[in-house]
Amino acid sequence: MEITRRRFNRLIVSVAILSVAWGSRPAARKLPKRFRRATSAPEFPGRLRPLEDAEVRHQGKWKG
Amino acid sequence: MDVQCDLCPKYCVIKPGESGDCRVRVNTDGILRAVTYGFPSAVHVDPVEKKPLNHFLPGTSILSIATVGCNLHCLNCQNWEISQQNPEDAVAFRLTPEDVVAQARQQACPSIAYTYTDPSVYYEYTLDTCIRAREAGLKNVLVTAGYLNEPPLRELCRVVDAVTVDLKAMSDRFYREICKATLAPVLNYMVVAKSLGVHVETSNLVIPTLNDKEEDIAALCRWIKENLGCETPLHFLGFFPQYRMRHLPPTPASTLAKAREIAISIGLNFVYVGNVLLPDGANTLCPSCQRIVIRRAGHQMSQNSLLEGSCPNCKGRIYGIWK
Repeated sequence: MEITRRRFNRLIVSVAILSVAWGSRPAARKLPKRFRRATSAPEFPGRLRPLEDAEVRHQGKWKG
Repeated sequence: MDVQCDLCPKYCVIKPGESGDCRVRVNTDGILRAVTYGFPSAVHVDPVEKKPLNHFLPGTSILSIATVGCNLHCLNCQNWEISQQNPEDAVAFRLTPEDVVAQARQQACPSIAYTYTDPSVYYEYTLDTCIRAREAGLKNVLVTAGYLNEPPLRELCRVVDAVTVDLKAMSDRFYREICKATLAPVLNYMVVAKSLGVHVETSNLVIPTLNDKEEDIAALCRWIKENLGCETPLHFLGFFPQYRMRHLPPTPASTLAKAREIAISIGLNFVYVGNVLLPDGANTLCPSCQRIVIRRAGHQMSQNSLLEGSCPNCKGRIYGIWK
């Protein structure tokens, strides 16, 4: 089967690109991706009250 | 400008002035803000067994904190008054991560639990407090539904000692219909946490007619055994009619006893029953010689005969963090 020089070059470039893309897949998977950390808000949107020591010592009424 | 939160598998796209599905991650002028950072709505000292955690510093107290908000919306939520509350309607305390650590020391607690709602949604507050706690020689515990993406989970696991994950059911349909979530990320959470050396316990709330069939229980136990190991403690918890599931009856004690029997027959070594008192339901037995090594009544430990984390009779090592 005959092949032109241009076609041969395209084939080589395609194989190279695919190899690099395939080879980088495990590396990309191993690297821990960063996530976007939220910033804290200056004020609480609800109501604030002081924390009482007696309340802290009391077992939580919530499950868990 | 819209922002996308990539903390949990919901990947909420949040419009300016609005919040994500969890209610507490807000788009303020194109900036993603955690509005409950430093503002817990619950701060209490609990027995560690209440989390539930039976293989982590037994008999000790744990400072337990929570902000409002959750990324699940379980119809049976037992803490819905706090988990499904908008921050605008909530009452909270101002407590920096350093203040939380100081509180734990003041209350003589060797560990801090991020609990009651879900620490996944107050992630940055949890992470920063965990870092301060670790520096102060305290341990960190997450009580969670495990609905968090892997990159933030991996970062958090560097400073977390134990997690107790509420595995709702081994059914994606259950997660979608009852919890407005999906199953796969929860399973991945547990596998990743365990692989990173975090102590993992699991709980399963057994709800009549929804996840109480013997095959449901067996599937859950088999998955735990095959993916987390037979040493992973499992807590079957009794359901009580709550929130939007008041039409269902409480879980009969016999169902919980049967669930425990199935789990043991499948090969799990440490199976507990909570919310209902059953003989031996809260005791830790040595899997090698079957001797009771920790005796409990509900959340109260009455006897601990472990020697350096091993059975005093056969010297078999018991999975857990004991000091």
